[in-house]
Amino acid sequence: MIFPAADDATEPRATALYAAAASVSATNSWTSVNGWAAARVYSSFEEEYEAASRDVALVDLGPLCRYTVRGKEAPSFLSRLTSCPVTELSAAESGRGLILNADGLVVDLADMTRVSGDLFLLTTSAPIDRRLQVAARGFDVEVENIAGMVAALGLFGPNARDAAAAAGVDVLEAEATAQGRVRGVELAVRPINLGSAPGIEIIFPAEDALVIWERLRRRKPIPAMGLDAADALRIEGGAPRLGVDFIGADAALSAEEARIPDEIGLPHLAPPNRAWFNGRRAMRNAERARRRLVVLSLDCDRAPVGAAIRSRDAVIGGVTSAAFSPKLKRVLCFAEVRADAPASDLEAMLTPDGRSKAAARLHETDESRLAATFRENLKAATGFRRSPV
Amino acid sequence: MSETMNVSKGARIEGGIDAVVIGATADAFAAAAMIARSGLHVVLIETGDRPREKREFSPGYFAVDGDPLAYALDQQVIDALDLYRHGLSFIARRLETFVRFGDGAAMTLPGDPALAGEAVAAFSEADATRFADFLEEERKTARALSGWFSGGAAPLIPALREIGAASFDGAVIGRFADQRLEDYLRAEASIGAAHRSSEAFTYLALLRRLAGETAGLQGGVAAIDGGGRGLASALRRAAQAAGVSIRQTDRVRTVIVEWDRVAGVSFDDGGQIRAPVIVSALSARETFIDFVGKARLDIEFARLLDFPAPTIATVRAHLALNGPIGDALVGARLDRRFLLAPSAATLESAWRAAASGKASNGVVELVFPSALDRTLAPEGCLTAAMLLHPVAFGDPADEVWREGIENVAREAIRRVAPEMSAEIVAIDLDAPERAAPPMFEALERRRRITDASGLEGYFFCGPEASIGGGVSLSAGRRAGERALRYFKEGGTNP
Repeated sequence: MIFPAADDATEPRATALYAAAASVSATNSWTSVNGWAAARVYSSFEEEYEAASRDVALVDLGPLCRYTVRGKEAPSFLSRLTSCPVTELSAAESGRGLILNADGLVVDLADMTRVSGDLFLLTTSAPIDRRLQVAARGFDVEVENIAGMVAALGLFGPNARDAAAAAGVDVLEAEATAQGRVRGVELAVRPINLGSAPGIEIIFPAEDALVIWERLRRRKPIPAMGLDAADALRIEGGAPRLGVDFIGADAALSAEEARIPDEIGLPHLAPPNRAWFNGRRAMRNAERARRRLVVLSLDCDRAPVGAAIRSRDAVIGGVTSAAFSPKLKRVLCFAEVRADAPASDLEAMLTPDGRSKAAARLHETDESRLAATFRENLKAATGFRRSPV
Repeated sequence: MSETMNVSKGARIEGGIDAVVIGATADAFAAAAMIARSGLHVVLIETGDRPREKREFSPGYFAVDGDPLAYALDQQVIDALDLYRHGLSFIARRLETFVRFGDGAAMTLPGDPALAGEAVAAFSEADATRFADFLEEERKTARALSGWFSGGAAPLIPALREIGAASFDGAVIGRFADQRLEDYLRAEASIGAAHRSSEAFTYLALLRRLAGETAGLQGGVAAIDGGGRGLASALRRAAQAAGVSIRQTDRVRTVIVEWDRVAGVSFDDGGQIRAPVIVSALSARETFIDFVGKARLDIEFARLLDFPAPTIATVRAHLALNGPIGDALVGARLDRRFLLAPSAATLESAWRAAASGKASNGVVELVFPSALDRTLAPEGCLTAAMLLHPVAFGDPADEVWREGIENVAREAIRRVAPEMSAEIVAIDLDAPERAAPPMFEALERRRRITDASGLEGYFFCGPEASIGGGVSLSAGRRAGERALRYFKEGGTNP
């Protein structure tokens, strides 16, 4: 799950883990996400990135929106609300999808976990309380916003599971979600990703926040990671950020501002041939994507957010978010470009007058690989003409 | 070939049918006949409220269901289905309107609105030309908007926004020397409408009434022979002549949706009728929530169907009178339409009373059906059909509500005919009808409900597809035309 854009709350609320997070923050650099305080940098961007890439880093996932959905009709309710085929999830399985409006435009990203038969945990980037309230009418479901009641802590990096196991949180098996009581604390653990970094999420009651934080850091002081380093991992993984790389349909002032799944590079999360979900019918009749969100690698060392992308002397798009990737030793950025734009001869204008520019190349990410495979499969599935031998 | 039969054949799956129409309303028959006349095999499932035969509500006194008057019957349906040949007839084509004002004064307007000027001269000489000009001007505007009211695209009239945003009060007040003419127009605009005359958009309600055209007369009022039942019978015959197969059952369980297209209907006994086109004339809720299910509808679309509970209603009362009316002015001619036009203040207070659940005097439209059809009352006696508006939405089984409405009805007839000598021996109330929402809201809702379900091959002509009160058949015609185009274009929603 990806953090949405920072908002402008002047006095953000403290997450359950805020006190612990603040105690390890050397920079005291904070911002607000969904009205919750979120650290941008704890020690330094490089150290945090390095920890998440090579070892393990802790992230306070409290600012994300969390809901429990329970009831007999919870699977069909969530299958309607999101593009994830929730009815097919077994207990302990997780899935992800998109939330679309009736016009097939993306409202938000969604992660779902089937905790038990008719109990689901739904995580979204931004609050969707009103949408849930409207969608739940006529369904035998009970939806509760639990964001303020629980603490959520992410462990990201290749050694995330070992770190959890060292703290006694070793209930996670393979890719399944697990619930259990560890030394008196009720918690749930599930696998998640933060862009290119695999990890696990531990969810537990807010009042036990400090106990779990301390327990995880007792054996080895695991560094905490802020939004800036998380953003670099996110772009490396090709995960677009709500409010930064695209505007959610509920927040867009016009339909022109909102995007269809193909335009944000996530068509594989909302396949039009999947059983019915909200907005699917409109997607089928929608115009083809007019623009596309791609990840570019730039031959430069600073992040040019807002820079124009040109190809053969024509402006074809602009940079929406960017971060320096220490792994690649270059800037990676999300850019929204015309759908028919060529894939070569790209350059980013680092200054408005175009005197300073950097060569740009399409960068393959986990998400772009999935999207490309999906598009190919869709074409193959619907194509009926034989190629000449 | 036409047939009438009951569906009771077990779990039979029937194919080879091009379209299924669900409902028993005039719009359902109109839609079915419009499709079938193009040679398609259409089955009409007669379910929901059916127009009843005339009923005896008191010994010797009969009431006929539905609106006895028509303002806006869709001429295209009448022509296309040749309804006159199938029995549609008018007892009176151009009914005069006798208006009784709040102060007891009276005015008679001729059946042809174009001649209103002369009648008004007898009432208020200073306003004769002004009123005639005003009516003529508004009839022209109304004519330009009539296609829009009956379901077409909004016309390109520069002043449309201004007209649409106008309240009745804002658009009419101060036009005439005699304020009672405003009361008359306000009564015409308010009857059947859920909004106050001082609210924005209400002026369209008057224009919609003036746009109506029945029996070839714009803005005129006609009495259908047999009332609503007479119209339904003509449509039924036209549908049967066009080859529609009519079946009577209340056991439709679901509309079958396969992928995103409708594929037929299923019945309680497991039987199915497979068809690529379904038209529903039932309520939007039944059409989409009950037959398709919320889980297969877009969230935003399903939300449209959560209509707020109605508060303002219109109710029809049938009165049995045990003798001639007595009042000289009213009794002189009973084959007219009578309208009680209260002052603005009285109407406003009636609206407030209705909104808070109480009964009060508002606008009353009154006809004497037995004066047009002698079989409806014993010799020398009368039946009156009265439309009361606005009233609180209520349940006829609720005695308090019923008593309140009956008292208003008793008082209303005495206000129309103060010298009435006959006694009211019985009053029968129809179920209250939800008053029509403001015109722009209704137009927008119709557009969204008829276009936005996203279910291919599913067409809607239920009550929410109609604009304003009264029967018009436009919704049925449009649903039929759209279904036909869909069928001919090989399954692409128009």
